[in-house]
Amino acid sequence: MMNRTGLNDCLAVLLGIVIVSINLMSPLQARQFRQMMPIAGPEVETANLPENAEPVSRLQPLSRTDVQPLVEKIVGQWNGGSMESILADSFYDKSRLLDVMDTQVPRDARLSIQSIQGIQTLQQYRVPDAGGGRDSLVSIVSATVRTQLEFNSTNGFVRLPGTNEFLLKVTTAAAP
Amino acid sequence: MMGMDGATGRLFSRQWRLPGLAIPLLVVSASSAATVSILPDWQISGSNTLRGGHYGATSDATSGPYPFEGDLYFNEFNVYLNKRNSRYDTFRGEISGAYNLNDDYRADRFGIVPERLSLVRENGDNALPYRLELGDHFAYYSYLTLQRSLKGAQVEFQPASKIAGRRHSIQITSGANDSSWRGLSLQEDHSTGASWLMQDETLGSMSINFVHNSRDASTTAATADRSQNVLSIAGERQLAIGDHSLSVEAEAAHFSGDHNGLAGAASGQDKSDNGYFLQLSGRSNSLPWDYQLRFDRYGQDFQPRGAVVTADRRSAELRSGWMHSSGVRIRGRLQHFEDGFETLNELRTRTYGATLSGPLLRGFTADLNGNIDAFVQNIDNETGTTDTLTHNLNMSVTKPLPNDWTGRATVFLQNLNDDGLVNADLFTRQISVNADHRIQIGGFEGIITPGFEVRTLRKGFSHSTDINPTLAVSLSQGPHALRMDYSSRMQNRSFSVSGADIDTHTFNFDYRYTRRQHIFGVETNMFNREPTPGESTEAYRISAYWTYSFDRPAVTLAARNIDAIGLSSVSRPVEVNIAGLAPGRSVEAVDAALAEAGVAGGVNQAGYRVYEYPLFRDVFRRQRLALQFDQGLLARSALIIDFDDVGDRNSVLQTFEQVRQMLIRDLGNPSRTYEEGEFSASLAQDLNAQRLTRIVEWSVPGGVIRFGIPRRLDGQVRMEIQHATRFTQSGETLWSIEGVR
Repeated sequence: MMNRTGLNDCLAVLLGIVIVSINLMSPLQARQFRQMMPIAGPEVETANLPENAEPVSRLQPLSRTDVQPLVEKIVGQWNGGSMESILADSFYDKSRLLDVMDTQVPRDARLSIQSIQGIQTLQQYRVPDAGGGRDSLVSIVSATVRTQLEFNSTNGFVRLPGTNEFLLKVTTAAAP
Repeated sequence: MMGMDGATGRLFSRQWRLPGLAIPLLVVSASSAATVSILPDWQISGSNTLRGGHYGATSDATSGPYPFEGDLYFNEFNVYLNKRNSRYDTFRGEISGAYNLNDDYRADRFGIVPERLSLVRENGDNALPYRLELGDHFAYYSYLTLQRSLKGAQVEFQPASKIAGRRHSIQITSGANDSSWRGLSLQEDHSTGASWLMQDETLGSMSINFVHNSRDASTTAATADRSQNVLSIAGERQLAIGDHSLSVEAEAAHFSGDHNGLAGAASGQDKSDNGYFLQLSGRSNSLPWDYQLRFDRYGQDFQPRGAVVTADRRSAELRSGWMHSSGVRIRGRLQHFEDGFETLNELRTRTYGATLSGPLLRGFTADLNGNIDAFVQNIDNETGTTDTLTHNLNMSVTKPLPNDWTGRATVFLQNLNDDGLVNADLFTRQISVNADHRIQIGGFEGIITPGFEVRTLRKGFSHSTDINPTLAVSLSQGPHALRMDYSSRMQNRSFSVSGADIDTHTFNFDYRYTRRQHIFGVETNMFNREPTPGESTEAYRISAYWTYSFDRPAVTLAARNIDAIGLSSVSRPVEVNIAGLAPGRSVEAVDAALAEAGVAGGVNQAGYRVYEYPLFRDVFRRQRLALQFDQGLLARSALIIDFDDVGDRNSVLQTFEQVRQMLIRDLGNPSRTYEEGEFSASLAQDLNAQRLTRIVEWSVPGGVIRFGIPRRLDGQVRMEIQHATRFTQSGETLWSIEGVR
C-alpha cells in the first residue's frame, strides 16, 4: 500500500492543472512558453501568421452544461486508470504522473466530484486544417472543481478533499 | 435580482421566495410586464441552477463520503455578456458564482460567493492593437516562470513589425491567486510580471519573461513573508535537416528571493538558483517515425511561485515512436530522474517502457483494438533506505461481439520488489471485463453494462482478494434520461495485507427531464461500508435541481417550437426530406407524402418502417429511410447511408463531407458540432475505441437533426441522419438505430 506522501504528491501533480485535449490535431500550445494569440484586426486577418492561428470573430464561452461532462470524463478516466489518453502531451511530467498512478495510488481509490465551481473560457482561436478540411475551434477553459479521493487504508476509510483548477483544452470543429 | 427577457433583450427584476429563504434567481420570461431596458447593446446568455439536497449517514459518518449532513441548498449562475463596437473592437464578460445557503460541499463560504468575474476588451482597430483583461484571467508566460489563474488585470499589446512575417507581443500582468473573490487578499499570493514575445517565420520564436511574486507570512504554514523574482529567456526554432523536420526549444531562468524554506522559514530567505530546459523533437518525412530528447535541471532553490516545474530535480528523457502501416503504433521511452540531487540523499528513478496500441491482432481479428503498456522502474536513494524494482504491465482491449454486445477487458500486473528499509514487496494482479448491450424497456432505449473485476494483492505469506461486480444502465426516451450504476466491492483480507475485510456497496441514480430551456433532475447516491471487524456505515445523498438556460436565440427558437409542435402542424403537408419528416407529423400525412414521392416497399424492422430510398440523389451509396411512429405520430425519422469501403480513408472522408455540405446547404450552419479524432484507414477500430466521433446538429423547429457516424455495438460503420425531438448528450457515441442493420 502506498504512503500518504506519495499519494499527496500524485494528487498535487494530477489535480493542480489538467489539460484535456478533446481533439489532438494541431496542438497549438505544444511548446513550453506562450504562443502569439493574434488580436483580430484588418492587418492580422490578411497576415500569414505563424502556427496558422487565427483569431475568432467572437468568443463563444463554453457553458457549465458543456464543461461538466468533460470534468466527469476526466474523473472517470482517473478512476478507470486510463488518464493517458486524456492528458495533453504538453502536460508537464505526464509520463511520470501516469507511472505514479500505477505504482503508488491504491488500486481501490476512487475520485469523486463534490462540486464544480467557477467555469471560465479563457481563450478561443481557430486553427485551419492543414489538409484543407474544416477548421478547428480551440477553447482553453478553466474550471474550479472540488474533488474527494476515497479509499480504504489500514487505518480505515480515507477521504482526501481538495479544491483544484482544471485547465481544459477543448478542440471542436469550427462552424463553416 | 435581474433576469433577461430573451425575446426583447431587456432586463427585469424578480425574486424567487421559498419558505424562510430568499434566493436570487436569474430567470427569463417572454411576457414580463415589468421590463427595464438595461445594456440593450449587449448580448446576454447564461444559466441558473437551483439545487437542494439531503445528506445523511448512520453510525460512523467519518467512514463515509459525506461528512456534512442535513438539508443543504444553493443556487448557482453563469452570465455571459458580449458587445461589439465594430468588427475588431469587442467587449466580453463573464459573471459566475453561487448563492450558497448552507451547502458545505458547494463552497467554503455561505451567502453570495462570486467565483469568476471577468471583462475583456479587445481592440484591433487601434494603431496599437491591445487586449485588456480585468478580473479573472489566465497568466501564461512559460513553464519556468508563470502559468496560473489570477484575479487582477492583464494587458497585451501587439505592435506591428516592419519586417514581414514577424510579430511582437508584450504582456503586463498583475493579480492574486485565489479560487473565490470572497476573502480575496492581494497580499496573500500576488504576482506581477511582464513578457515579451517575438515570433518570426524564419528565425523562430523568442520570449523574455519576468515575474515578481509576494506572499504574506502564515502562522499555520509556519512561513515568513516571501518576496521573489524570476527572469527567463526562452526560444524555439524549426529546422529541416536532410529528411527530418526538427524543433529545438530551450528556456533558461534565474530565481532570486524567498521561498517556503527547506528546513524552516528562515532557510528559504534570500536565495537564488537557476533552472534550465532543453528539448529536441523531430520526425522523419519519409518514415512514420518520431522522436524526442529532453533535459531538465532545476536547482534546489529554484522555486518560482507560478511555475509548474519541480525544484531540485535533474532529468533526461528519450522517447521514440513508430506507426506501422497496419495502424499499430509502438512507442518507447527511457527516463532518468534525479530528485533531491543537491541533497545528500538523492533519489534516482530510472524507467524503461514501451507502449503498443491500435488493432493489435489485425491478422486474426480486425476489429479488436487495444493498448499494451509495460515498464520497468528502479527507484533508489543514496542511503539505501529506498530501493525498489517494479515491473508493470497494463493491457486493455475492446472488441464488438455478436448479438449487439461490445466487450472490453483489462489486465493489470505489477510486481514490486522492495529491497529498501520498508521491504514492502507486493504482487498485484487485476482482471476486469465489462460489456455494453443495447436494451429497450418500456419505450426507453439505452445501454446496459455489466462488469466484473477481480484483484489479488500478495505480500509475503499474506494476500488479499478483491471482487467487484458492477452494473450500469443508461436509458432515455424523449425528454427523459436516466442513469444508474451499482457496485459491490468485497475486499477479503483474511490474511491481512492492510487491515479488516471490507465490503463496500454503492448505488447511484440520476434522472433528468428536459423541456425547452428547463432541466429538472434528481440525483441519488447511496453508500454502504461494512468492515469485519468494525462498525458499518451507511450514507446517502438525495438532491433535486432545476436548471434554466437563457439566451436570445434559444428563446426565439423555443417560441417557434411552440407553434411547430402544435396540433396545427400535424396536418400540415409533409415534404419527403429529413427536415420535412419531423416528429409530430401524423401517420396519414407522412404516408400521403411518401406515396406522392413514390416511396414504397417499406418493411418493418425493430419498430421502424424501413424503405430503400435514396433521399440524396447525388450520393451514390445505399440509403435507407427509417421511420418510427408512436401513437399515430412520427416519433423519429432517419436516413442511413452506407459507406463503400470503410478502409478507404479518402472515400469515407469525401462521402461524409459531401453529405455534410448538402445538409448545410439545406439547413444552414450547424447549431452544434462535436468532433474527436481524425479519419484514418482504421476507421472502424477508431470508432469502437471512441477515438473518432463525428456529430453535427441543427436545432430546428420541433426538434433536432443530427448527422454523424455513430458507434454501433455490432461494429458496423455507417452515416446516419436522424430527426427527433431530442438526443442524448453529444459525448454519447452509441446513438445509432441499432435495430436497423
